[in-house]
Amino acid sequence: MHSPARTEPSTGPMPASKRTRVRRSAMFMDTTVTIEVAHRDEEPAALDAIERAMRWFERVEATCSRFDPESELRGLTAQAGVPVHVSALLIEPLAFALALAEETNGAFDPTVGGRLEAAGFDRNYRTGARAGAALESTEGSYRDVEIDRAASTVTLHRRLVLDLGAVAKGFAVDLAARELASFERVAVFAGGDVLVRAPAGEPYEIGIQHPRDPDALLAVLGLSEGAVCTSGDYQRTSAAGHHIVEPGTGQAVGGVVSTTVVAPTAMLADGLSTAAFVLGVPAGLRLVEANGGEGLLVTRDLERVMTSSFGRLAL
Amino acid sequence: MSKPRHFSGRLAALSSAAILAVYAVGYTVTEDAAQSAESGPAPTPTPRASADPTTSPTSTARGTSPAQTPTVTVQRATSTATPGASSGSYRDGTYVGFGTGRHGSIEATVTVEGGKITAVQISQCLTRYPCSRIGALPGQVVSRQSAQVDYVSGATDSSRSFIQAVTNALASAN
Repeated sequence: MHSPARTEPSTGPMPASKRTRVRRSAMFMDTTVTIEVAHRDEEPAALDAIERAMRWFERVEATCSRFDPESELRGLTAQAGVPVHVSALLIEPLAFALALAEETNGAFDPTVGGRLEAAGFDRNYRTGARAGAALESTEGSYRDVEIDRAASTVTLHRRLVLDLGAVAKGFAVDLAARELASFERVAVFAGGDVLVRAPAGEPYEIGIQHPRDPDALLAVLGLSEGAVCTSGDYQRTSAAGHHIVEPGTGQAVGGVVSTTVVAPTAMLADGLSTAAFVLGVPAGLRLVEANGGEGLLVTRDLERVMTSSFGRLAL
Repeated sequence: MSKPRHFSGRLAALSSAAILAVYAVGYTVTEDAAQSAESGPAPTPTPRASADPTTSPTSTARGTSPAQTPTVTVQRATSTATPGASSGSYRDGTYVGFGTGRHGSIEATVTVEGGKITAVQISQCLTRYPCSRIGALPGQVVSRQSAQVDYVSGATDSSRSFIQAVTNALASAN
């Protein structure tokens, strides 16, 4: 489960013109989701729209959760070796995760679920129940997963547990934001993921949590359109280490303590941020840059390393 | 793949196409995830009235099931098409390009051997409608040695995305 650092929701200045601002929060995917919309006209439908947007988190969680024995994702583990028909809500983020795995040569790998379970990340946050697949072996890699888009099927060529924690939350943010396309200002916050859309010249201010000082911000970004994701080593830990593990060994990763990625979609920002966390400096930054994102990495010595244009986003 | 692959933009395109793909399925209508996955838009074949009988797909596009023989109305593109025009010689290699339209993205993989386009594949079909509708277009790229293929009636957005994808792929081959 990818549970990135908290990116503080701090809304930018609202212009003097009349805008109705509506904001609601709910708990999904083990994090607080906050959605805010603002519209120049009276918008009685704003609450309904936010409600519809929230439903995407519910759907994505029900489909892609590693901790829910009833999820489609979990169902795949039980049917290894045969093509299983899955919904678009599973195949789309999985296809993205596999492409990211391919691009990082497995440094990022969505088949890391079994090793996360072995490291103790196996409890459902709602029920407290353990959700382990009791795998015979935690070996296997993204190469053991085959998807057929035309047939909408996924085949696991060995018994393994997928983990889409690093992309599914971002995907839910993207789906929720699209539901709110008619609003002038939209912000969707979900743990370390933030997506904003605002008129040019009226950007949102987004604070990035400092990885070691809970009261400090690492940076404040001004963003009119796009997504920011911050991954850190400090939020969720088990006895065996923190929650981002190296796919090959199941060990917690070292090198950097925080990565922040700005990208056009939250799924892209989420995936790149997690992959960059594993890759560290400089490979992680290269990956972010090659995929059109901007990134800020903080090393264990609290040195900041960033892509060439990241500084332009900072306020 | 040992040939050069140009990845830039692939992940970005996948992530935005994913949003469209899920919305296309229509979850707002059918709440059950498994059911709505199967109630996606079906292809609506139109009677064949091809303006160019010589074109036949020379490569199998992934995402095109052989049973769905493209039965589409092919129209000449009005202005930009210069049939048979060759854009000269390309560098040998395998090139990947993306094209994105209102209904999603298409990834085209173009193979150049001996300076000529020898194969074109729709290597990813991330559009709302099946790419079988534009199944004739990869073959046209090979026969015309150009990205300027016909627009398929009823699938103009996919045609445009495909042309853009091939154009982007060939930009790396120049």
